[in-house]
Amino acid sequence: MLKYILKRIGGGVVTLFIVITLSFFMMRLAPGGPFSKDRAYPPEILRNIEAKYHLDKPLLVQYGIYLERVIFHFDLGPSTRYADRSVNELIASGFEYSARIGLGALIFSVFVGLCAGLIAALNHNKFLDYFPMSISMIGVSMPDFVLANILMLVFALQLGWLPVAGIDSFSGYILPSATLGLIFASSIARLTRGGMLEILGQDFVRTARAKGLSQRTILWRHTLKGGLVPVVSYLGPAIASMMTGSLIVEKVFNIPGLGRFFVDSATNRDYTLAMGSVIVFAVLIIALNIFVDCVYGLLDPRVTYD
Amino acid sequence: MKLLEVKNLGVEFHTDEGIVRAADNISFDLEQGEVLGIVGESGSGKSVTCLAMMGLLPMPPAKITSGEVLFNKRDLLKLSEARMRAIRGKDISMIFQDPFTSLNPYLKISTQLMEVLKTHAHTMTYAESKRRCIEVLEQLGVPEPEIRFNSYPHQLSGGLKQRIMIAMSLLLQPKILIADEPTTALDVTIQAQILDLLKDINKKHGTSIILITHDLGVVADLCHKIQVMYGGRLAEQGDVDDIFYRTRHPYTKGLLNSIPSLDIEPGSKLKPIPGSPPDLTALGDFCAFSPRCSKVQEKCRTKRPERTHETGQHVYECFFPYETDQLGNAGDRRVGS
Ligand SMILES: Nc1ncnc2c1ncn2[C@@H]1O[C@H](COP(=O)(O)OP(=O)(O)OP(=O)(O)O)[C@@H](O)[C@H]1O
Ligand SMILES: [Mg+2]
Repeated sequence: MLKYILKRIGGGVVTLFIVITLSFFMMRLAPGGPFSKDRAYPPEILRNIEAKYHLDKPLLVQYGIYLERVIFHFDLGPSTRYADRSVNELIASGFEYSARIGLGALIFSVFVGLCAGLIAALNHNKFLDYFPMSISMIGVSMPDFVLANILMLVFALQLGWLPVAGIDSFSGYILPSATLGLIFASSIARLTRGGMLEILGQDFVRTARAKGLSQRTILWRHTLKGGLVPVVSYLGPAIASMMTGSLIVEKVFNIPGLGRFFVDSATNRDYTLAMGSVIVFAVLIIALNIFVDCVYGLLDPRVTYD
Repeated sequence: MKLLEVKNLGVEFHTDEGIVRAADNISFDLEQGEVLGIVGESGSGKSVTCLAMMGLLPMPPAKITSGEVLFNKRDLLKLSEARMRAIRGKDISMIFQDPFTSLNPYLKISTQLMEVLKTHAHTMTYAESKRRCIEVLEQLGVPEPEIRFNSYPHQLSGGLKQRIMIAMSLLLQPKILIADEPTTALDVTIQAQILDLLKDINKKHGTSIILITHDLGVVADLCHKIQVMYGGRLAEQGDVDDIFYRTRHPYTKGLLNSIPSLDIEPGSKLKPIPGSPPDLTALGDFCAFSPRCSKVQEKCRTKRPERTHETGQHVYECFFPYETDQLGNAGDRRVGS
């Protein structure tokens, strides 16, 4: 098991290296640069600035400098857009909020999604199956900005239960977490239902019933583990995207999270911040996938690690 | 006294293709210590009949349309789910065709065995329960039972899995063991071992057994009586000699002719029954076997044969049954081939 994890981490490092390399060069291939857009700097100032960010050196040298900084100092460099702020700082400040909202969304989506999926599976082809599944269909297909605005209208403006925007208090996290959570809850509900229906139709469930076990024992002991496998594999990438923030949710609720960096840095050609965002996302995805594969082993004894 | 009495059991499936009458007016009984074989082609309603008795059919699509299943003077079909649960796995237990899929791959053998005792024998301590499990595994010839007890199903062979299934069903010494094609998924040598095991269980503990199988050859040795089913209906029923030596129904005869055996003359061929199993949605008021029957006459196609009771328990549904003398020298089941 330990050997397996080490091997996977090794593979992850290689993947990360490839991701860094590809994004580095692809970004440079795209036309424009961090200082070519809004203001036309005088040439000597531009030269100075470019020298500060090493942009005047050959591309390969820049790549070498970048790698060296990232690998040996865990330093993602200075932002080319937000003067005097390092990418590490920017990401850390955004991640604080995004992670809290993401955690809230995770708890919310897993709870709501599992409950709805289980209820639907246990009431297959009855009202309690159709009803949550129709709702989740809406959840899957509704754009997040619509959902965010509806929730804000109802719970903040109409009922006045929750703040409209901002995250000065705990209650400020509820609406953004719920918005993000509901979107993922819909998929989790559908996957739970599908997984559970598949397991409930297996021969060993009939065996369990033939033994005289109660419905509850059959559900908890015999079917839950297997039924949740699809949800677990979905959760790996889903957690990564919940934790790294959603641009829309952050815009609607005015939250200084990570999501906006992802988008803004690309449009601004903020090379270092964009690279930093890519690395954070890649690390999260890789780590979560390793974690998910380990959880498989806990769920299904037939999975072997070698 | 009769241990189990099934009377006029009828089961339908409501499907998109129409109504499937999977069990139509099925009746049989079982005495203490008796082994009943239920034989018939695939889709003839053998499993459905037994699952209906146990209340294990998925409803819907299944629907029990008629009949009663008397066990200890109680009609199992009328019992509440909670009462039925108390009987399942304790008084009547069931093992299934495919040991590879019938054990839960996510749970240890120990969990799957112990939960039977936990459910039905509340007073047993953990240690007692474990001792009982190991004891039964030992009795069933499971090598190194302590190790198997702590294994997962995928770590065991098919034969061992089926032994574990049987052990699971015997933990509480049930009155009736229903074995639904317990050997179909196993190698021939393992098949023989499992059948011997069932015979042993019947002899030693007096457990009544209902053995479902495709194979008349298997039942001859093990069963006291046999029920032949065709198209969800009863074709013929009787003790082993009735079925083998006083065969009445052409379908039974067809089955007998298709058993390979060692005493068959070299050069002679097995005779499979021509045609294919019936479409259960299209069965009406006629003999289900008539399209494939060699003795078919006009009457068979327009009227459903009544149940004819002969001496003893011998029963069949046929207008033109074989007469004993038509069989020639009784005892040679290959006459006519
Ligand atoms: N869940 C179901 N839904 C619809 N039809 C079913 C269902 N289960 C069984 N049937 C139908 O009932 C009929 C009898 O099935 P059953 O399983 O009892 O056959 P069997 O005699 O046990 O055959 P086998 O030897 O293949 O196990 C079949 O025609 C089958 O199509
Ligand atoms: Mg069957």
